[in-house]
Amino acid sequence: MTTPIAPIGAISALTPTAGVAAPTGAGPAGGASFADALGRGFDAVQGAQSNADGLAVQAASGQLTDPSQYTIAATQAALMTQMATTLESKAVTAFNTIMGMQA
Amino acid sequence: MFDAISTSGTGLTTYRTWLDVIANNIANVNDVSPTSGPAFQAQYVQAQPIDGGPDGAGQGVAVTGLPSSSAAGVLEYDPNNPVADANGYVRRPDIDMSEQMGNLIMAQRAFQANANVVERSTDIYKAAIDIGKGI
Repeated sequence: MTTPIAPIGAISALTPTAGVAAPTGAGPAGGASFADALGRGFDAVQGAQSNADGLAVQAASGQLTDPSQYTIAATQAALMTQMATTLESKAVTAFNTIMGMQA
Repeated sequence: MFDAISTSGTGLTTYRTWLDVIANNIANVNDVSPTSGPAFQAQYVQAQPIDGGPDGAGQGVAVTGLPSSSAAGVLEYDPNNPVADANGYVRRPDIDMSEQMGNLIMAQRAFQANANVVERSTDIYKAAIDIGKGI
């Protein structure tokens, strides 16, 4: 005769430890996260790129009266893209450094 | 972001406008009109600074208008001209060619100076970005 196995009980909710106080000040939950900031940065890069693209189309179709407008917009878009990719690679490097600590 | 570049961009736009105006003035320097109508009116560029940047620095220059010189021009006696009036007079534009050529050189040099500022500030911003590329 087999005896039924007793069901496993639900895990009780974790109770906060009394000794450790909740972190205050600028934490990930308090301020804007890095991902949000990076996302806004990429939105700005996207805007600069589409502005330069629009002026490039105007230049190609002969509607652009001021060539410097396009070259200025293209320079700014290139600089913003460089800065965004630099920040992104620095963030990935920092993440890898922290993850490497457990190895 | 990258304000120096867009500030110099307003300078480039302004001096290109000045070049356009000078080109038009020189192109029309020999226009002849009858005394019953106006002479060709030379155009000038009116500009003013743009202020109110995020750090208090101005944000460049803007063209506010293209005022014209007087329509009276210069009366010249030229009875053989087909548009001459009964007394043999025609109107010619009151444009000083040497002044226009001087302005042309000023506009050209100022345009080049602004283009150089764009180039230099691009290098500076790139240097700032390159700080993050090491390690």
